[in-house]
Amino acid sequence: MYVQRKNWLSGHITIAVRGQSPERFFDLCARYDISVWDMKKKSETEATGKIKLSDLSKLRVVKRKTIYKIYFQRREGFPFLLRELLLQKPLIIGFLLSIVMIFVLSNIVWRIDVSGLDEEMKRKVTVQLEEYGLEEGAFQWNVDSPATIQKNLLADVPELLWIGVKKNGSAFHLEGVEKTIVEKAEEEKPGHLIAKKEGVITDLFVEKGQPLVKPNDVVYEGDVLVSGYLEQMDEEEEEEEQDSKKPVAAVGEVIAKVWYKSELVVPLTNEYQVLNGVSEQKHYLNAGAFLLPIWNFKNPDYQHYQLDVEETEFYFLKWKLPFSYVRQTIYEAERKIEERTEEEAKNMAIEHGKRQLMREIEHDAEIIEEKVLHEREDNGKVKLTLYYTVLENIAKKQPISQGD
Amino acid sequence: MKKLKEKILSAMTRTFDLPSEVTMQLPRITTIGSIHAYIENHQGLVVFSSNELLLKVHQGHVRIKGEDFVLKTMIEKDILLEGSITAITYEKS
Repeated sequence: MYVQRKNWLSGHITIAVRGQSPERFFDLCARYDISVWDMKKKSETEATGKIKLSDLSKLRVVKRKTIYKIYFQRREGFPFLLRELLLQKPLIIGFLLSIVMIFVLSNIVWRIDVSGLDEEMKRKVTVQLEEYGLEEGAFQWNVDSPATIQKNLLADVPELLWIGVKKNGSAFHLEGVEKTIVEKAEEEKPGHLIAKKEGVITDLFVEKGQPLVKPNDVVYEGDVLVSGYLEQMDEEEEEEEQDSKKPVAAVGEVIAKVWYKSELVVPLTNEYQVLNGVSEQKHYLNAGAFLLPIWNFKNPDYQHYQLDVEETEFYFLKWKLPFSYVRQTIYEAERKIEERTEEEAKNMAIEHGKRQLMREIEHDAEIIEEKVLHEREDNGKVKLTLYYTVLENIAKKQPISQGD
Repeated sequence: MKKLKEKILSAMTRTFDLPSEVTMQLPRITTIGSIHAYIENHQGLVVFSSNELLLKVHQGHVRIKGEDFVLKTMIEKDILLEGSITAITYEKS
């Protein structure tokens, strides 16, 4: 039994030997190291036995030396089973087809979940996603990376405050946060308005509270501009009435002249790269550690270039396949050196300084004066010290601690 | 050379009490009831049919008679016979 099992994997054949005293043939086989088993004598001139498939070539050698006739009767074992299966074309085609199907289906987007948003926003996001080519049933290799989608979505749907895009196998999970107009807190905490910067007061618009400064006053950072206590009384009186008179939240604007000083350095020569629009695409198959080029083998001879790499991964069921498709786009870059005159550099510095200042100060602030205090040129650079006078709201809320 | 080898072998058989079927090329026949016979160290199959097996051995033949004989395995010097055995006879030649 063991022998039979063992030989099932390698395969065995039942042979019939015909001729005068056929058992002699098997004896000869045994001498030539061909193992024979289950030998039976059917008649005076015919005997059957089983031999291993791998001994077939040896059998041929033995047979050539004799006059016996050999017939193959039954083929058993794995190699024959395999061959039989391989001959079944529909089976093979079906098998391959199913592999291809699984591969294709594994690379399809099956589900897109959008959470954290109301119905309307969900629709908006879904429509936008469809525009990017991301919808249920789309191929994953046509879809951008989650980070790109996230960036694009934030840019294209202005109502979104934030959106997280996560890819989980064949499903995309989006989690959004909508921008909501924050309603003002119903009850503001009582507080003063204090100065957040040093300056000279030019205007006061006080809605609530007791102003403590008047125009043309010089204030320093932290000074109280508008008090939350409505009436500034004598010390004693104040104390008496503190229980009945509660401080209010001071509201108002205090416009003041504020001065800013900034130093800027602008080089006279400027070197930068620009893409000149010439690009070359290369396609690779990334298997493990190395890139196998599959299209566009030549290397462009750009002197300066910028590389853009895009990678598409493939999935089989939930497993990521160890190879991916990589598309490299090589852009030709041109290095440009720009020479500036001193005048140009100076203008640029002023322009730049203004932009920098704009970022620092509030939106509705107004630059009323700008001055170049100092100008110097050395080492191919222009150094400027600029001075700005800005009208801006310097009021800042400071809550009054109620001291209980 | 060969003579010397034979001499040494027979001497060793005597002194070390070695199995004689190994040293003297005699067949060893093991039977299990009357259904199996395991013949080792034979020198060739002469006749085989469903009721008879004749093997050449050292200095003669072994004839096994019975019914429904099947050779379960057959390698160079060993044979496993299956069937119902009725007689084992040694024939000197």
